[in-house]
This record gives sequence, C-alpha cells and structure tokens, in this order.
Amino acid sequence: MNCKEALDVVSEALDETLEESARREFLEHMDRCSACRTYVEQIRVSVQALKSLPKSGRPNGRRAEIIEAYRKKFR
Amino acid sequence: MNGNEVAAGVPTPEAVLLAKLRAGDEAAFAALVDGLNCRLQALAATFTSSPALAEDIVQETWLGVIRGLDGFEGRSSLRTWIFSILIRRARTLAAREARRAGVVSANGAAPDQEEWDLGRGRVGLWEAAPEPWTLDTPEQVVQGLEALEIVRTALDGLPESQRQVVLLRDVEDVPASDICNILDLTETNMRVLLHRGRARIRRALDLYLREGTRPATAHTPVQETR
Repeated sequence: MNCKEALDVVSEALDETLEESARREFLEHMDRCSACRTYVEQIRVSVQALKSLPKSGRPNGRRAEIIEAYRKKFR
Repeated sequence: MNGNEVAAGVPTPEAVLLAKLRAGDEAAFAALVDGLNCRLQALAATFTSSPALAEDIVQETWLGVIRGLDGFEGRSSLRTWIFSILIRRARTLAAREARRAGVVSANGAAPDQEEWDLGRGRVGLWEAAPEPWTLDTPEQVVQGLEALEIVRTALDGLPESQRQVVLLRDVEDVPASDICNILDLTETNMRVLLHRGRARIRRALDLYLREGTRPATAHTPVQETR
C-alpha cells in the first residue's frame, strides 16, 4: 500500500472495518511512513475529541408544546 | 423478531422504552425529549442558518415521532429512526424556506480550501508533512476544555453535508450503514464526506496545538454539492 491507497481507507481503518489483508497492508504502510502515521494518529485524536463533545445544550423553547402534543394523542 | 427483542424473550431496554412510549407514558416521553432535544437542534442547524427554522424542524420531528410511534418497526435504533425523521423534515422545510426567501443555492461555489478526494493522496489533507503534537498523551486533547471548544467551532464551520455525516458518525455514534440510509448516500460518498470533515477538524486542532491559532467563529453553513 502506498500513501494514496492508505489515505483512501483511513476512516475504514479507524472504524476497524478493513478486511484482514487490507488492514495488514495499511499497518505496514503506517510502520514505514511517518507522515501518514502522524496524520492518522491526529485524525484518531480528533475523532476522540468529537466523541467527547458535551451533548447537552440549551433547552428547546417548545418543549411544553411537544409534550402537550404527546398528551393529546392519548386523550 | 426485530432489533428490539432478544431470543430469550427478555425485552431490551429500548423495547421497554418503546412499549412505554406507545402506552402514553408521559414521563418516558419527556425524558426522551430532554435527552435528545439539543442534539436534534444541532442536527437541524446543519440544514439552516435560522435558529427559528431549526426549532421548527425539531418540533416537526417530535410531531412525526408521536404520529409514527405505532408504526416504528425497530429496523434501526429508536434514536436513528428519530434522526431520520428529522432529516426528512429538515430537507422539506429548509427547501421551502429557501424558495420563499428566494435564496439562490451556492452549490458549486468554490470551497474555502481544496477538498480531499479518493485517490488524491495528501492533497486537501496537508501541505507540509504533519508534525506530531507535543502532548504527553493524546487524551490531553479530549480533556482540555479549550481544545474541545476548538473542535466544536470547527465542527460548526464544516460544509453542511460534512457536518451532517461527522455529527451522526462521530458525535452521535450512529452506525455507518444507517447514516447512508438516512442521508441517502452511497457508502463511498459517506466515507469521503466523513474523511473530509475529520480532516478539517484535525487541521483546526493542528493550528491550535502547534501555533495557538483559533478558528474563526462558526459561520453560516456552507452550501455545497454532494
């Protein structure tokens, strides 16, 4: 696998959905190429950061209307 | 058998929740709304720059959920089903709003940076070879509030289709195959959008960690072709 081929499958590699032979070739390329290795590690950290983003936020102003619509369905 | 039942006949927590929702359990519904509302708001905001329209989209989504509860077949998780309702509503409402406002879609406008694509190697990913971030552990990024703020701002600034894919895949952890279904994307297109979005997040973190540069605050979502 060369840089282009490896960069095409970064997302699959991080999601661990690469087939075994492709996974092996990907890892071999990472061993050889420090630029790709650094890049992929930084993408991995970026994905981890995205997963860590807080999911709370300001409450929806229409919450009461939404609950009322649900209540109505069962009246 | 569907995804909400298990072979032994013991209902999954999701099946229990669904039964409560179908039986009119208001507390269960309110808890669902409180758990998902701001996440739906974030997804709705990828379709429009108008906070009011995003609220309309979220409200319409919940009305769709209420109407559709009895027909939900459990082929995806409840959450993925709710996201898919939102996306359908958002597309309809955002298109209607754009027609009314006479907005000319900026599809085809030059992107603010070269976009990566399959077979293009590092083009669109980096100019100079990436240098390691000087972190004791990569997890420091995740623990730093300021870095997470950088990530949030970069996410908010992604072109809309990249933002939808990254939000669903990385922030919400929706399975890749479900994302293809609800956004009507091929597996390849989804992967390309995901990698483009992730690459922009990495670039923002790279600028911040190595040069202390913060990205400009979130701008109006960039319209683009898919």
